[in-house]
Amino acid sequence: MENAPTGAEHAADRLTRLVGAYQDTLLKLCYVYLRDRELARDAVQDTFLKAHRAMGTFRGECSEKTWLIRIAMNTCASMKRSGWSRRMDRRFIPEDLPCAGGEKDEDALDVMCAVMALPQRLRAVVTLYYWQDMTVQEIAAALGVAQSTVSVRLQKAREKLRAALEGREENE
Amino acid sequence: MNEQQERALIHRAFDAGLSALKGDPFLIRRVLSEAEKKPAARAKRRLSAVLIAVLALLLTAAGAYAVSQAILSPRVDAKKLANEALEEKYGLTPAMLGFFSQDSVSADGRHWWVVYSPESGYGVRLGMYQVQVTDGRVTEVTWTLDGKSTQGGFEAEAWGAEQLGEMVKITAQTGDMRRFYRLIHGEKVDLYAGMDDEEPDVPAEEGWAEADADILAQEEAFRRELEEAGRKSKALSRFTEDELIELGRRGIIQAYDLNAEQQKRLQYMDTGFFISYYSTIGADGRPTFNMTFQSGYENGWQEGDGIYTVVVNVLDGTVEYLDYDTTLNGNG
Repeated sequence: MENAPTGAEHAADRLTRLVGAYQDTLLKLCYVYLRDRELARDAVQDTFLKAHRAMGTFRGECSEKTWLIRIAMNTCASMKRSGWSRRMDRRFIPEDLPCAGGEKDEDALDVMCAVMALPQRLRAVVTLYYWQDMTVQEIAAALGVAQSTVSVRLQKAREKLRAALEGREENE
Repeated sequence: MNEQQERALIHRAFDAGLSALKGDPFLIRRVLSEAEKKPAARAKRRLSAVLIAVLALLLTAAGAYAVSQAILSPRVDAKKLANEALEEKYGLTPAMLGFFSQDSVSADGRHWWVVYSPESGYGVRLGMYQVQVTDGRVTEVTWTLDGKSTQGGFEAEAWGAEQLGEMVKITAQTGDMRRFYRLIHGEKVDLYAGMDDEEPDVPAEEGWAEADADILAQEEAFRRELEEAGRKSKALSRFTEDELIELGRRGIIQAYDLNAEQQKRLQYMDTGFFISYYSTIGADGRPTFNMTFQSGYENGWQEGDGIYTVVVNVLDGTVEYLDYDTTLNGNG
């Protein structure tokens, strides 16, 4: 299994390595899930805290990345259920996309907006499958759902994305 | 479009759409600091019978002394020094710092970093403060928004003492913190208007049940660990609960320099929502008594009012952890 922790690796060193390797990826995943960059930062911190505490129980049955993503997705789900989060307006606004200044790739941004407008469950599978290049089996493990569920969600997501992007072209 | 092209398109979209999303350079420190705060039952080491006997001999005298004088742990002492440094350099009072969560972390027990982070969504205006304390002396005080203008009230690029002071006043009167969030995120908001209750609940999304079972199982396991740690800590305690409560009270008064009037308003809470409990702290599982004190409210919010959480080491009476929540930011 890739990057399986070794017994000799000190917990703080392991945390440093995991944060270095996965922080940016998890931050983007959590942002796509929560649609809020500050909440996403909190979710990432909580994810690494849980991972740090549970490091001794990680048995290497999946990759560290899949394990971290599973913790992150559970953390995001938990945050979305909180009283505070439920009272926040989380509708996606294209202007909120955290893209850097300078010349913008408008086509790519349109696709990103279409992804962000998908329902949460579909956003998650699209992100993991297309952006993280994970297999259906890995996504099922990370989200804690059946492989068939992942396949169905992927199919639905593709249909919705195509419809959204075709609609955009027709309007232009 | 085939799958390969779809994948390339999504990669391009993520690269373009999330390009400004960058990681937190202080994340490792924050995680290590958080890990210290809650009981780490798995990492807890058992005290051997011999060690307990030696400690009992050594601490008999120290325990008697500790009840009359609070001993602040290096962590709490670093936080006290950091609070004072922020007041001196930026004019920030404990009430203003109530809008920040506070973490202190040290790798070696000599060098401490005390980090003040705002609630989610406020960072762009409030920034983050960081104080370094080495061997009991403040060596560095920084703000991530140092250099940005704080002039112009809530129109300012960065919100410092002036705006935080105003936030304390407004939230003390209205109980509504979210108006600042909305202002920061581009809404036109009357900051001084009365309480606005027109916030609809967002319905729950489907699919959360999938995560529920896992989270509940984790919470149940954590609760069991907590109970077990508590039983062991209570058995090890060298103080009565009244003595531990007195140590907690003295720790608060000392760390926050409360005046006579504020001390009178400080009440120990062990009813309803507030429950005192035995636990452990740190990776070495130091046994503790965790308790809560509340101050004020009879005549509205006043400086020093809020909720104080104190964690006292039951072996030597050291105040291991101390937190002050003004309750003005909606968490109280």
